[in-house]
Amino acid sequence: MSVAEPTPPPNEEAGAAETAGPAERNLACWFAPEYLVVFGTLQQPPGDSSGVLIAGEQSLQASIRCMPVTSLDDAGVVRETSLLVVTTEDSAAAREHELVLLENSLEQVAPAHLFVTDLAPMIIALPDLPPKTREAMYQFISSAIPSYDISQRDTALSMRLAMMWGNLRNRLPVASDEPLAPRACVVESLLKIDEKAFWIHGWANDFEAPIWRLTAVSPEGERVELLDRCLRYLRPDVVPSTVDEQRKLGFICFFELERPSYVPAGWILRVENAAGLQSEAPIPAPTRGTSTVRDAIMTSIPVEVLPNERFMVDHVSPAIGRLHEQTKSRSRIASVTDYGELEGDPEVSIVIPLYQQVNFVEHQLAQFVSDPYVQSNELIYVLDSPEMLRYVQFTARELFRLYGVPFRIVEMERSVGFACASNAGASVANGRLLLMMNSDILPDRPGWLATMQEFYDSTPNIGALGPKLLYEDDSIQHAGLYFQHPGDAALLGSWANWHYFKGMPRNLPAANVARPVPGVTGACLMIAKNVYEQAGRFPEVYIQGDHEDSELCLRLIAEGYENWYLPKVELYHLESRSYNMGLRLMLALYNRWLHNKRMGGFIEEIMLSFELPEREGPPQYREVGQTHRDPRTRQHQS
Amino acid sequence: MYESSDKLKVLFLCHNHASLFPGGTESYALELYEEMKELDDVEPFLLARTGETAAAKDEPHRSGPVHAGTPFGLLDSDMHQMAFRTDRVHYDVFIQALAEKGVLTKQLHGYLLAEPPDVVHVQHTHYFGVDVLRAIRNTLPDVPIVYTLHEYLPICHRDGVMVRTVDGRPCTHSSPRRCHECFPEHDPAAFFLRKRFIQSHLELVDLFLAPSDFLIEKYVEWGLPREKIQKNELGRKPTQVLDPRERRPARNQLGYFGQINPYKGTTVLLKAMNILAGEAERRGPDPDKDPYLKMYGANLEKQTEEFQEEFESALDSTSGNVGFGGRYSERDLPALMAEIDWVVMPSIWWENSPRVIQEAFQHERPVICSGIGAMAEKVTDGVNGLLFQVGDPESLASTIRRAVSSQELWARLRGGIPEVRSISEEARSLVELYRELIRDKVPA
Repeated sequence: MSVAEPTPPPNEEAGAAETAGPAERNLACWFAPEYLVVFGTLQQPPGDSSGVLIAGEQSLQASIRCMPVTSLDDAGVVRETSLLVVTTEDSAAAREHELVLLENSLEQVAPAHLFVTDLAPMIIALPDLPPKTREAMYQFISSAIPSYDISQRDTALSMRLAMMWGNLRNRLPVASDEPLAPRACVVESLLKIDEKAFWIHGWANDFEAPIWRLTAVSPEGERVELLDRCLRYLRPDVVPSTVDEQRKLGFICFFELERPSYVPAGWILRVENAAGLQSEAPIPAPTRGTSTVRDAIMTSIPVEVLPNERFMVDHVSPAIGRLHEQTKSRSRIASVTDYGELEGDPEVSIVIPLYQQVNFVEHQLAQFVSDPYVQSNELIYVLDSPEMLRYVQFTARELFRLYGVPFRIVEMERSVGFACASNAGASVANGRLLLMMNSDILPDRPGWLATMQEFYDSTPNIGALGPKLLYEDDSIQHAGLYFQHPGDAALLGSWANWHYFKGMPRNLPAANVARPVPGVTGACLMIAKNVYEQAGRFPEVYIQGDHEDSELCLRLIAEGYENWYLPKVELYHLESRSYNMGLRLMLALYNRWLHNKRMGGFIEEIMLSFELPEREGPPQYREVGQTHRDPRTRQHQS
Repeated sequence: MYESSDKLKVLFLCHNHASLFPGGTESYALELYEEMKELDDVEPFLLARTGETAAAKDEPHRSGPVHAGTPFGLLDSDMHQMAFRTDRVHYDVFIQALAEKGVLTKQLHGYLLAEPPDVVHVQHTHYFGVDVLRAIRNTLPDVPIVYTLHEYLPICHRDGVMVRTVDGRPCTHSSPRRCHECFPEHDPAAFFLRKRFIQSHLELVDLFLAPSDFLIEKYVEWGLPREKIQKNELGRKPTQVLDPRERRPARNQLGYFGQINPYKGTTVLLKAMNILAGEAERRGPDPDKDPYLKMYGANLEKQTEEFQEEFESALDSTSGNVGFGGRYSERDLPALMAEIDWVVMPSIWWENSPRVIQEAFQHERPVICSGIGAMAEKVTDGVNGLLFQVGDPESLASTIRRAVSSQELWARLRGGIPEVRSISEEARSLVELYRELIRDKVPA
């Protein structure tokens, strides 16, 4: 190695740091309380060694990892420098002082004086280096600082790593957002599930050569290969099918980092094609918030790729499952407030979750007020929209004053969904019987609750009891539910929940027979509290109220109970239409998929023993030419 | 003011006060109140809801007294006429209820207890909220509540007129589906809720009064129990009977009195006049025989721009056989009626008990009106007026042609005009009714 005039070692004597220019000083920066990154001309053997870090009076044991860095300065002079990561014990003293590093090796190396700075001066002091060297330097730093749970420590490490990466990383040509240009790529969104888990979707296209690699790079520089795990799908909205009907531009996937990422900005997606040409696309800062992310994931799923078991198992289920667990872990009751008092102990507790449309409370009270039996029982509203608490507290007082119907408001800390909210309400219920109810249920006439209770108490072995529910046009909304296999045409080809006689007139004779049914809707479901607990309450795995009722009913059957439909009790169910339909559809598909995973086998077993609507005359819910996998159909034909 | 007396205390509730907003119901409520004040054994009170209205939102100075910390206030020096202010922005016009219930459960509650009435007669619940009935019932469990049905607001979200938005035709009946067709922004379930909510409060009324059989039928079809509704013709203050207009070659002078709004059928009338003007033109005009219309009516400026344009262009296109007189006051009515032979009422909605027909009859002017609803009930075709096909300018034109062509017809119809019930008679019979209700209410 030809060396012109070696610069004098700056650490020959104490105080050299003051006289030497910044480039000559050994700059040191604490990345975390026990990780010190050093850059300078100090002589260190490459690789790992150990030593002592002297901080004032204190001597700290240190392990040292070194990467030699050779550069040319402006005049073409070669400069030998070192990049060090020094790991030591966490000591307050170490951060206050100038430091001296002594190496324990056989060759006696002079002590190195370290000048402790912020990260910025160190970055400025870095020489011009080829891109590969710079990225290698970053990889060296980040791999020398092993993974640990930063959330309990100082997230400044994440910030420093991100800043370092931002300065050292190779900046590739920016991908085009014009889909027909070469090397086009747009990341539509990055959704943060937790610090390590993310959901990403967008599209990438290269007409010149196939895309070889799609690499998501976190702001902290961690890379995750997406191409081999993501789902590619057609994006006619990006490139019309008239232009190209084959190419699957879209990509969508769930992925995990090894280390948590805390820095929001600075994500990039690196794209490489088969010709080795690389480009990068910016990734928008991740969207956060449990329900926002969940809804965004659901609406990002391309319905046309379903059914796709792998996609559900590898992507949707872990993402949604994790979000749901987060929600559940925070599903505590924040407060319970009573408006008015009951005289005596209630027989029944009516449990009604309130989600967004809290104005239904007044509509229900306006009906319950004319039914003394309802008023002598317990009415529990579970507020599952905590953001409406103030409004609800205000109106609750007023509504009690006007209607005089006593009720209780259970406030959830966070919005947790129908099942969790219902279970929370049931946990504070004093009744022997529970009536799980939706807020958009209105009785047709007084007396319904007493009739239900009478039937429940006089029916041996009863599990869940459901009444007849009506639409506002007096057609049937619910007359018990059953399971039907929709055959190949279904998006997730599996058992679906159906309501008997849906849309038929309320006075249809066939719908006016009380009988055991596979299940009843959770929109209005009576069950003894002990039976409900025995069957495991509403399972808290489904999103936003779907299938927990049928799973509970199936578990009741598994426990040996019977579920009953009672037509002489009639209530209206004004199914709310305010949902985002795309989201609603995806949630339903996910819930149905999950329901089948959990209960599909059992459904197949029990459906053989139930009456089906087609045996009783009303129209059959069947598409022409549909293949029936339904075992009942087989039985029917034989 | 609050000295105790043995008099029957009657509290009227109305959605506005005639001195602030001279609508038909408001005027009637005030007249009834004043009439009862004349009776020895009755002490009436009038509680008028005040505050902004949709119709007069640009006139805050006409919205009644405002005092901090109370919705109450006085309107004039009469201590028995009080204002009760509610805020329009807190009023849900769709389900007909105030969001802020405290004014009912606390303030109104206190008022009712301070001087408990023996009977509450509700003329309207608008801007109080239909749940005012429950607040009254909670506070005064044994006091009869009487409720006069003035239009179809509980049935119909469209200002209670029962005219379909889809085709402008009168609506036969409400249903969640039909109402949703008229108002696509509210789904059928919302209309179901609206009806259930309103009915849950109307249940608390002891007796409904309706000014026409037609109105009774509509409400019974909608779900009010027939046995709870009684017909009660609205009374009128007596007025001088006018002589016929000085004898002319023909009874060709027509008058329109009323609001100018889309439901009143004024454009139908103007189109009919246009047809008649065309005929006169072809035949050669004859001012002594050709029909001539004088229109008097207010509130055109409060209508939608679209309607104002439609009305004005219809008015412009009539050539010389229509005169527009604008706003009139009740005081001027005899003088205006004296100049005409016929009163025309071309409303495209059912109407309830039109004051204009009563006024025409009081002044002995036969009526030409749409042959539907309460109009067809109050006016008998060929006896005291003529009916035409609702919304049909051709039919109206030929009816007018027939009317002006025969002096004999006019005289015969004038002779067939019935006597109009006087408000003093109505007041006396209402007091009898109240006493009966109170007797029935007394717990056995």
